[in-house]
Amino acid sequence: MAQDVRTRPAGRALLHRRTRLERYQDRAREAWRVLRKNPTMLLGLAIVIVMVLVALLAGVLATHDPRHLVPLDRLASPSLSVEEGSKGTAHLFGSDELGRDVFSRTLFGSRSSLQVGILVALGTILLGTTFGLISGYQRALDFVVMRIADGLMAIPSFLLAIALMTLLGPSLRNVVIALVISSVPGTTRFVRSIVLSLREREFVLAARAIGSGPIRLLVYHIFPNTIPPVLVLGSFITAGAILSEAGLSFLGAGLPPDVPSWGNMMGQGRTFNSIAPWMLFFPGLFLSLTVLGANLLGDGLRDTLDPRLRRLQ
Amino acid sequence: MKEYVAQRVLAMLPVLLIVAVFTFSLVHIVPGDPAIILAGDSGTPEAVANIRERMGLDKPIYQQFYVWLTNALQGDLGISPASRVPVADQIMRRLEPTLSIGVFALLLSILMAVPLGVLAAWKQNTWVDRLSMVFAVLAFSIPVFWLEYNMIYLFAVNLEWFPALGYKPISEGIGQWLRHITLPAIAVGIISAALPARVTRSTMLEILKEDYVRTARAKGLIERAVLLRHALKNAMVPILTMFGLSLAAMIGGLVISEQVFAIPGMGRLIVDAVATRDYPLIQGTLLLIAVSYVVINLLIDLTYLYFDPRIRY
Repeated sequence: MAQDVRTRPAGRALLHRRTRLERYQDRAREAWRVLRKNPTMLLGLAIVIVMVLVALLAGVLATHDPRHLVPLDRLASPSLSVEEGSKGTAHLFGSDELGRDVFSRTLFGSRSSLQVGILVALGTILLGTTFGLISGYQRALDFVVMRIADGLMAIPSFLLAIALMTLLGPSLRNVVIALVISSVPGTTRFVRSIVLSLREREFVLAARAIGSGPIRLLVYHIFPNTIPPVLVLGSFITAGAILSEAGLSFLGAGLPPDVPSWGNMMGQGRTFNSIAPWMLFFPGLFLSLTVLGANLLGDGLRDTLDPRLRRLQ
Repeated sequence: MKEYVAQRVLAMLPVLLIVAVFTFSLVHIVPGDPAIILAGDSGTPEAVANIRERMGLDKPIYQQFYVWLTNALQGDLGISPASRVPVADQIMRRLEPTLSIGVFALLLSILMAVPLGVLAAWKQNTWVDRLSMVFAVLAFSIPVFWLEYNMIYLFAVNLEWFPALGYKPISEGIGQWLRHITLPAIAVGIISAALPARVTRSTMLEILKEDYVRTARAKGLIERAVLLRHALKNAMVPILTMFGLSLAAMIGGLVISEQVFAIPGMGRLIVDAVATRDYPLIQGTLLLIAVSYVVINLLIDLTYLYFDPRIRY
């Protein structure tokens, strides 16, 4: 009840309680207003949506079976028409050394990249926020958690991921684990710094003054305020994880070689770069676009949610 | 000032200790007898026994760590199981190419990031600003190896300005050396310039609003002096910090680039070590890189004394 009175001007609005649908409409209108003011964010969002659709609809959009070998069609250059002597439909992005269609493989490749990106972001945020909250609020644990974070952060994260992949062996699950471990320390440190500044703010002091215990303070007062910056960080982590997965797979320390991922396709295409550059070019283009989309979205979210977060690169 | 330096050096020690613990545990996390793992796939029973004795693997784990650490501090990082070559010797032989490309790339990234960031902030909201930031977000979104293969295709395969692969040591002539390291250095430089350029811009934007900048302009200083001596010098602390942090990304980029250009440096050493599961080599290279990363960031911290004389302890 109190909520309705809070911001509404006097008069008719006071009498009219808004329905749930109307409140959603309000929110959608607000979101659209923000997006229209920020065209690069809109572009980022559009790219991300298109890539998610590509991943979901890869089976429908693909012109070929991504794993189907056509020895006659080896290293066919990209074309819109069917070449003489080859069978089936045209290879829009050319074909690889085993005669597989690069266009179809690129579409299916979006699946592993997006999976890795999203899972790593979720895992990192879950662990990083937990450790960050504990570390920022519990002085005794802070020292231990931060020294471990310092130690892990001293090893460049890509190298740490390579080393972990040696231990774990190539698979999607292990790539996610390795990338989460290498990005949790930074996230922990980031969330901790937010908690440290929040815990001295008036509303937290007020909550403590009326007798809230530490758990209640953390869960109800501090945690909700870490969500916007962590959301921004999440889109950058997604972008970084997609890049790192490609790097790992490219080096042969990522996904198993039979998975049609962008990193694997580029790793396999490098041998043929001088005669069939399309094998490497198109998966890389899609990957770069996806990462660009996530980064632009992150930039836009940062500017919208909190202009003070400009330092969060 | 002496206390400040001492304090920073002391703060570094626990971090290095944790790095050492992590690197050491790498072998012990893998299931199985560490002596057999360290001896490698081709390890003879004598080799296994030799390692067990040399590293004291029958002793408690903290004693093993002590032995390993004191050996490492004396420059003995163990022996590769397959080649029987001491790890330290292998690293020494691979340092030159990596350092050549790394230093060249760092110079290029400073030369790109700082002027771009300053210009973008000075001409805020003009096309110069937008173009610089488009460059920064693109450089931040593309995989370094994709950039490199496109550069190879364009500048090495088609235009034949640079060799596509390989490395010539500086002792065989500076011209050849430069020609071989230019493409990888430009690519790594571009990738590592992205974040520092953004930080330079955002820090400069903040500083250009300061009173002392207005004072400098009011007293009639030429714009160049205002920008460089008054604004940029004060922006150097966050900019240098960012360069220090982006060294981690640069090291990851170097590992991949050496693979792309077939350059026999540290990166290739690591990737080969991972492929052959040469644990002493993985441990040695990780330890060395982490230590250098921490030490370089310490040195950057010490330059703050020059750029911000308020830092006194």
